Amino acid sequence: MSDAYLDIREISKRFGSFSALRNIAFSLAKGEFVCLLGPSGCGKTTLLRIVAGLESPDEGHVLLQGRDITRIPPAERRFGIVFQSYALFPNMTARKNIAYGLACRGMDAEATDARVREVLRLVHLEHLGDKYPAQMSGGQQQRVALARALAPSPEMLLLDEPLSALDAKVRAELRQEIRSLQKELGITTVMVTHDQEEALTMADRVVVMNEAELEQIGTPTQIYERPASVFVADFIGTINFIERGDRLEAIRPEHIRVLDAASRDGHPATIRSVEFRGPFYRMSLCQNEQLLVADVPAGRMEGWRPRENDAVRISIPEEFLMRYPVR
Amino acid sequence: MSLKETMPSFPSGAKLLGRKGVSGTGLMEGAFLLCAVSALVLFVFAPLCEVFWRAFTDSRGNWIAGANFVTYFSTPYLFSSFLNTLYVATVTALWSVTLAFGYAYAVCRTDMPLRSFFRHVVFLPLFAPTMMHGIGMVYLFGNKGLLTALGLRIGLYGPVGIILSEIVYTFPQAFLILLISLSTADFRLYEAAESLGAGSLRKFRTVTLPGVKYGLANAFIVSFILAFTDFGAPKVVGGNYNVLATDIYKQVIGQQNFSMGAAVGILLLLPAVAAFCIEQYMRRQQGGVINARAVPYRVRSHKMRDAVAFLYCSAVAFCIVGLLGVVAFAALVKVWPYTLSPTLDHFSFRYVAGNGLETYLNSIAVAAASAVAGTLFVFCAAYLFEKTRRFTPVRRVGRFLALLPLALPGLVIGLAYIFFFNRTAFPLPGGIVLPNPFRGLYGSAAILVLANVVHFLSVAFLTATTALRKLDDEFEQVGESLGVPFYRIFTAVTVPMCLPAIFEIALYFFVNAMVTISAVVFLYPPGFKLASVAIVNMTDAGDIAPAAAMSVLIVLTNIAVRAVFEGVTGSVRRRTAVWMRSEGV
Repeated sequence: MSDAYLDIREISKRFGSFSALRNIAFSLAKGEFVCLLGPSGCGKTTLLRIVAGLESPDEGHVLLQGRDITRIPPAERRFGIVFQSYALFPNMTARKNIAYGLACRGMDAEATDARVREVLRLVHLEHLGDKYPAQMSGGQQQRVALARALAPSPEMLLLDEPLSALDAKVRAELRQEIRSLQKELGITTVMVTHDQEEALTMADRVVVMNEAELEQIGTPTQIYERPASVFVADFIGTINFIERGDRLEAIRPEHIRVLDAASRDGHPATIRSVEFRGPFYRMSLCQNEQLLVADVPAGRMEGWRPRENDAVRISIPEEFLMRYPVR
Repeated sequence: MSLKETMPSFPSGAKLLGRKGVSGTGLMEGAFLLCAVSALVLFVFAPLCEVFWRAFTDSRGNWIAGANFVTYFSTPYLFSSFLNTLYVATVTALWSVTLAFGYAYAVCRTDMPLRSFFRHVVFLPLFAPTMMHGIGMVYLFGNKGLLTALGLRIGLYGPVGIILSEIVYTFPQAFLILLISLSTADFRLYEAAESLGAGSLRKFRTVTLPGVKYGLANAFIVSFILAFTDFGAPKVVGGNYNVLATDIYKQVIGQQNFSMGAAVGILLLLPAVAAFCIEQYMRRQQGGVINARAVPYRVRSHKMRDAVAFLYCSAVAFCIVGLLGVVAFAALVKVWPYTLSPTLDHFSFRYVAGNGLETYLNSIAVAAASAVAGTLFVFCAAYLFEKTRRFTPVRRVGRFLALLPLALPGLVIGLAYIFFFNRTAFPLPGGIVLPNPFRGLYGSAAILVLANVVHFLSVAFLTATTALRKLDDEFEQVGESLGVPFYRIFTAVTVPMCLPAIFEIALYFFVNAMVTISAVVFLYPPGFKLASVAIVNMTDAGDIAPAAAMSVLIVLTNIAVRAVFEGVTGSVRRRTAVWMRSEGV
């Protein structure tokens, strides 16, 4: 690919006998926001650290705009990194923390001051510049960490589970903020997360990883609607698997159609349990000894209140059915 | 909290039993607590009050306010020793902390060969009485010293000798503090700094140093206090250079001027009081520096750095081992440095000041008794203060009194005990006079044990408290809800789980009781001299070789006891490894 901004080529990494990454390859376009998604231990953080220069791969190369940076130390890469634990310098105020990278690059005091003020405004923390990390909430600390990473105008922004230490409300807030900031600055970004919702809502493209290997790379819609493997299908969202001989069929709960028992379409089934989830009902259905989960929008119930042991009919639309070979 | 709520649902039998048990154990808890706290009041607080009282009264008990201090500071001869002590302690602390920082950094943050060896070998001076460092200096730099003979004249007797000996003495303690400080770093901070473009020097200045600021200050304070109050080294290599510790000795033993001795004793307390204030201030400044998600430091490979670190540590370890080695060597030859044929003559302790081998056996007896009595008291007291839940004010007072000796130099404890146990009676308000029931202790060997227990109480107490805090409080609560009295939980659960810490405490008492001189030099009964006292007497009389031999015996004993301790705790650890592990997860 000639238009790749960051090119990751056949990266492999082992820690002793443990294989952390096997032949990982993909590339990013300029300004793209890519999420590395996977269960813990899948190697996503190691990959991010290799891009950052904090780890070096056993095999493979990292290219930035065609230039091989695999052996270049982190200090010379000009990448902004945000850690899960914030890693703010505890003995410095927010302002000092943000100015740190500027001082390292030899910026003079006046320009540093202006830049710090600018970045603080960007993360909406103008009023907290003189606070120490210990005096700030987790969300505020993470904003400072973000500001510190962005201050020296880095080539790329690398985020290592930046939101996982925060509580749900702050997380949702910061999620939007990071995304809009990223778009505004047009900065190429890689974020590691184990939270699929985070990945699907924030990323231009998602890289799903499992056990040191790349499972699928694609837009959030592609990943959700056309999972390339059983693992991806199972890992992202909820899904029903139906075994048919040598293949496995899969269908999302919202794609199963639940019909009136009197309907002529579909096949007969029984409701095993019902959960009301606000916008929809989640039903556990039994059809030919096979348990299926189906979501029915509350708005489409038209006065029907499903109960346990109700007889219904279900149909599985062909266009939503996914097929995989049995593992 | 939640346990109390579930109490009513217990079967009625257990409940009845529980209630009966609680009131009974409540009383017993109270009785034990009272015993522990009264012991602390009697043997820590009351004797200390005596020192203050004596410092402000004359020999006949008349109030003279600050007259002693006025005399002290207006007599140039006395006042100069105050300045001398400040000078010696400051220089010692600066050197000790600087050298120890480099050493700790090398052990903690490099990948040099023999790291584990270097880490352990510098603790050797802790096994030796401080007189031994002085004796080593005499053998190397004294008038007939090895290096003096080679032309290296440093003018040992005086500040130079004291400072060198005190650096050896304080180095391990400073090293330990800095090692702990350096090993609790968050590696993410280094990575963050690196990604922002920081070089090695900037990382050191902005991440490493701020991270160990507190440890550096602590190491300085501890080294300063140790050097400020040490008696052994100035006694051997001080020459005519007076310091506070030797002053007290002269005032009390030489001139029998107890009142002035007490005043000097209070001056000796000053740095500890100052240190306490500084520490409180810093604790407030510190805030939460290391968070729970901190990542341990990772040493990257760097050949040049490792080589420098190895050379540096080798040099430091060589000096320390060499100094003690010279003493051991000199003790084993006829006449250092002229006739180097091997002999065991110096270990017979005939024809020398002191009572020979008997003092060594006395020391072992006192150290063993101190270890047993001290460990028993400290662990029970820590348990009562930490794990019972009633009588909170009493427990708070107990905890304070148990930590108070941390600020008390041995000489002050010795002095306090002379005053306290010599008193015939205590005047009480209302004209009642209470005869001193503890007077019989003075002049017995028991007072040496008591002084040792109090002298080394605080560190042992902190060790016990730390071990106990690691145990879940719910053991006691479950016991209480089941109606099992607390002493059963104590013997069945707490003691077995804290066994390694208990052995550690016993060892600490033993080793320190073997090497200490400061408190016991005032207190030993005429017929019961200790080895450390014999060393002082022998060096006073010029019998340096037998003094060296005695020092060697003490060090060997301590090393042997330590080895036995490692063996025993090793087997305990193996035996308890199963539940220790499951408890840890």
